[in-house]
Amino acid sequence: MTVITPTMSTWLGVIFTLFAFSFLYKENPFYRFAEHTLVAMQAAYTAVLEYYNYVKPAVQQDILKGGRTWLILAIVVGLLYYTMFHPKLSWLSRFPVSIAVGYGVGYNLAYTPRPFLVQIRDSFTQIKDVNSFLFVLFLLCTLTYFIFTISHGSKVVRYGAISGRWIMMITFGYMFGNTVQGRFSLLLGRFLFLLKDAFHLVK
Amino acid sequence: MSYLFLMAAAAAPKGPKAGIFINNNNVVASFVVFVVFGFLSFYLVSRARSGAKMPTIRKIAGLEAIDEAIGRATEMGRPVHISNRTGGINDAQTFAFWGYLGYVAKTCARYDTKLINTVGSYLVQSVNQEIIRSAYLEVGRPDAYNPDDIRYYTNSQWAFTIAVMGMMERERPAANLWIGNWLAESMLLAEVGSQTESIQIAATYNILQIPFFITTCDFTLIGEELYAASAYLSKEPRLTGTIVAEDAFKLLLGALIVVGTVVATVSPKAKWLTNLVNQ
Repeated sequence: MTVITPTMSTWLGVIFTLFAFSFLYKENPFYRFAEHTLVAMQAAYTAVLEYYNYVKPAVQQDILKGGRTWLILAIVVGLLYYTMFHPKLSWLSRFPVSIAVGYGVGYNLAYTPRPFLVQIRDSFTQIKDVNSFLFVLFLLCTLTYFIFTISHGSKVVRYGAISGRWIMMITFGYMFGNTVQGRFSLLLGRFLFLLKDAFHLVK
Repeated sequence: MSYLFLMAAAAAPKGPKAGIFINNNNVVASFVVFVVFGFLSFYLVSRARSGAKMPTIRKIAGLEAIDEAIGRATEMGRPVHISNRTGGINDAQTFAFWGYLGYVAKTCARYDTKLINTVGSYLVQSVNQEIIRSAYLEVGRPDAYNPDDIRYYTNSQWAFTIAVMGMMERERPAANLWIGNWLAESMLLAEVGSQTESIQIAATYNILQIPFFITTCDFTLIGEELYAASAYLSKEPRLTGTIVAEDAFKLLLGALIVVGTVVATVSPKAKWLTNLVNQ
């Protein structure tokens, strides 16, 4: 059963786009309505998504069909999180959180070095022209900027760090311009939706 | 026929490296990095704990501004807002964020300034609640702790952004601290913070978002400064030891890059160093 027709969907899009744009004037009840609707919708969507993507397959396929009953333990540990709403039992909610933090630390320790090692390997550049020379120079200058415990009294460290800062700023400027262009493209997409799909003012 | 044998050989599962490591690139090198860095950290943290003199962390612009921003908020009677959206509970940037949160919460509790914490992960929210509650207890102001000011809106990027933008306009925090992992929402949030005339301090490791914070915030901590600042703020010798270890390791890596570049330039066909890192 289709509850929302394509026309209704377009008009809902128009209304909420205009409500969101109203923030450009100032915070107002229309914006607040859009804000609360979006947050509530996202909460509901996440709950449904989590149920169908994780809870249901884990119970139906893994535990009931697959016989992996030890997963019940994981569910029990996960459910302990809800004890935070009970003042006397809230300490139990620390267990799932601690497990998640511990997993995160272990995961980071195991997998963080690899991407950096790939970068280091790729920085072994044969210096054959100005570009490759500048690459190595800029890399070392930027690295110097991020050394925190060596005094900047030495000229090599001081000028290395200052150069590193300049190099990064130039890079950030380029990245800023590039991304702003992308953002304008998104804005134009929204205008196109309003003018073309909703109001049929352009073809 | 021989071609088929070659294909079968290529498709066969590779044996473990050195008998114990899975057969992927950089696995052994990662383990070596882990051991060397672990040893350096252990040694330097032990030295720091034993009271040995440790190098001082260089001044990081923006950190002194945190006290200034909280002081300004106190004078104006407006709240301080600290936020971390993207970083989940297993993100190193979230671990660093907790260092800032503890410091900011203590300072706010001391000055009796309202602290709002918005967060994009419900697991991180529960840790944040513990940190802020402990900070208020430590300062002797448990009555001032309000769990409703630690707000998990949603884990969705734009729903979170629109909610925080609305909150900033309604409650007008005098200071916004954007600490941790941020994505495309960074510019929208910091822009609204700028419009509400807040002092803004940002710290992130995400290189793509740093330009947006630089253009909209008063102070921006770039990349690795995020972690160093966490140690700098906490003044814990243990954390200072890890920063010294990091620096020592960076010097080692710098030396490795120089050696690698010299080898690649002098003898372009020699691949032993590249192969060593690929192990």
